Amino acid sequence: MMLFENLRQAYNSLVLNKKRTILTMIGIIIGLSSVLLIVSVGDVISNIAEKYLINATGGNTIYFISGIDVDSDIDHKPERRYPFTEDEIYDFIDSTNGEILDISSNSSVNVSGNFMLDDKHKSNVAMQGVTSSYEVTSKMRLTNGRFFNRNESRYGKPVIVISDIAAKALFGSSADAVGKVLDFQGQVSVPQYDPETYMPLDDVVIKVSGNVVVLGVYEYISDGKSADIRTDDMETAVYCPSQFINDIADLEESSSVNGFNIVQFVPADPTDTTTAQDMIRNFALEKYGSDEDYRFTVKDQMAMLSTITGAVSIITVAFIVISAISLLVGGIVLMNTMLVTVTERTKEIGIKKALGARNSTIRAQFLFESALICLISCAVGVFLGMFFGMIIESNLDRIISLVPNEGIQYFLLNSDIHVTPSLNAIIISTTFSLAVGLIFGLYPANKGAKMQPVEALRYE
Amino acid sequence: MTNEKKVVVDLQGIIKRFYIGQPNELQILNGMDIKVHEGEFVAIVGESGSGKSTLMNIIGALDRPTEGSYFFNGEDISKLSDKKLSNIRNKQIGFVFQNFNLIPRTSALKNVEIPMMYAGKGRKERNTRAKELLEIVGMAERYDHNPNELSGGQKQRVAIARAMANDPALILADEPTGALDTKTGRIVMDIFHKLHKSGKTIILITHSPELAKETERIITISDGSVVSDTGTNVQDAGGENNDAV
Ligand SMILES: Nc1ncnc2c1ncn2[C@@H]1O[C@H](COP(=O)(O)OP(=O)(O)OP(=O)(O)O)[C@@H](O)[C@H]1O
Ligand SMILES: [Mg+2]
Repeated sequence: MMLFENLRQAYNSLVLNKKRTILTMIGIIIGLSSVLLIVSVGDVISNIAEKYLINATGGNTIYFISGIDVDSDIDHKPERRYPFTEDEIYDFIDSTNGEILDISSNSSVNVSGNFMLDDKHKSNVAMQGVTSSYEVTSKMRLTNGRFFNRNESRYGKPVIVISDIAAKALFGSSADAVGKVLDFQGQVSVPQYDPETYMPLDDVVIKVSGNVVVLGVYEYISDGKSADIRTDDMETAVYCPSQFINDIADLEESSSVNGFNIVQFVPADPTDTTTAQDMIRNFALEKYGSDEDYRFTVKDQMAMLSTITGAVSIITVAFIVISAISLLVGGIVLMNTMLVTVTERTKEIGIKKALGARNSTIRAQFLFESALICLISCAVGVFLGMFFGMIIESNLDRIISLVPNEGIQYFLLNSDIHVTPSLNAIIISTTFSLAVGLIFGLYPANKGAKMQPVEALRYE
Repeated sequence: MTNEKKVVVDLQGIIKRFYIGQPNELQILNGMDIKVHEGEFVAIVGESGSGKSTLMNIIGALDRPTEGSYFFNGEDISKLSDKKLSNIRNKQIGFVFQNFNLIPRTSALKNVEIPMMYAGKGRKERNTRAKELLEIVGMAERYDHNPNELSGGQKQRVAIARAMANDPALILADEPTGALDTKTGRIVMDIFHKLHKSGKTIILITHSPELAKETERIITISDGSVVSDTGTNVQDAGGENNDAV
């Protein structure tokens, strides 16, 4: 019953001083929505981590970043680039005696459209460009035929591997599919990045058509684990060499215009990548080692992940400091407002004390009011946090370009990131807001509670 | 004619000083001894600044005396904690102020309910009793009005109803008619008479000699001392208060 009365009075007081209430809330809302955002970003990072750790069990790729050492060159942009040509890279892979299977295709380029045998047999699927290593990294099981090899991959031969489901739809059985030719028509949507800044540009849509030979049939497993994480929504994908899509769509590979600066190698043994890493280091030093300024990074996915977490946490820490400050400012604004409120209502406090209100009654009343301000702010803050999360998600590329590490920018741009406040984030920020309300409300509430009844009553 | 009655208020050598920055101290009450018995209707008069309100605040447990003892219903309350004093104010004393002191933006009914709420009375009980009290002071029709929608006389009637909420042993009224015209003051005064007849102990501070004369006993104060007391026609019941010190 006291609760209801406190609520009524707090509400009255907030409505009576609408402008003051709103201004106070704005302060807290800013602080809170930034806390919410931080927690969300933290969640995002741990999500990425989780995702890549799971993915890494399928295939642990090695990142080779030429020109930058991500561990020591944070914020360092090399004066000149140190590219490797495609031929150099493939010659190197050939020289590793199978330690390195291939480069990994990270291209999100795919062809969506119709594949047809004749007018009656069509399949509306997406053709995903990958490299020969995909067979190993995705742990795919071929039931008929074979996957394309490194040379077919490298030179972009018109060969595909389809799922048993697609094979059945198009040819009646998996065995009948191997060696058959299919017509396709579709379009390629190519995300564009500025090769220097990694800033996103508009997608380019290109219409394509042609013939492809079915090399093999893989067993489609619907739990999604057989497919690459980025394509698991494309139910039964068709795989072709990514170089093939580059050729038919007449794309200039954005990253290989002047050769590659960042390469993802796929090692034969994902559990122990040390030999492969050493080979890559030698390969890099062979070409540029005589240059004193030459730096580079060789890291497998796991190591890369911890580097990323480290680099991103620099931003996170910066944000936490900022949001802590804004929350502090919000708290001080709240305290000030409550001090004014308490002073304004000195007379009322006196009357209540004369009527028998205890110090604790008065304290509870004002604490209730400041907590209510914070809880309302919190509701708005959560809403805004979600809204900002959406904005951040749609501008993620620009935000990632703030990460002071070019290699990591590349990595993040190729990750599928969603920024939505989790229940966890909402609980944390609600707790935070209540804490702010109680901590910063305590001093004014105590001031009101401790007023001497006579003095309070005399207050004009 | 004398009869034995319980002593409600027993002030013994009450001194009140205010410290307005050292070393200046202002002695407002210079050792007052006043006894008020149950059921008495006492008027306190005296010129402005003589210390009536200061005395009233001490009697009402709103303030503590600097020196002296104050027995309320036989208990020395001059050194009690804030919490115990608020309990006494809540249950044993009803205040009526010159400027009404209703809680703003809170209906007449709620105003009357508040002391009962502090006393921990249930919602239903509060509501019924508050309506009853407003009926007694003739404000039954206005119970859902906020103070800013009431006239001075109406406010004061609500304030009296509120003072009665927890059926206190003592009603203290500091110039309750001071802000009202004669006619409205009359209505308020009649309510006090009604309460007195029902057995309430009432202490009334007033500037009006006419109103003072309506009471049973007039205590005159000057410069913080009692200069005259028309006396009481009752004797103390038992002796516990006198033996206590
Ligand atoms: N808190 C205080 N600090 C300093 N002086 C005070 C304080 N309270 C009251 N006084 C002084 O005590 C004296 C008595 O004040 P009080 O209010 O008791 O007078 P009063 O008899 O009620 O007068 P009135 O009839 O005008 O209401 C005054 O001179 C006043 O200035
Ligand atoms: Mg006075």
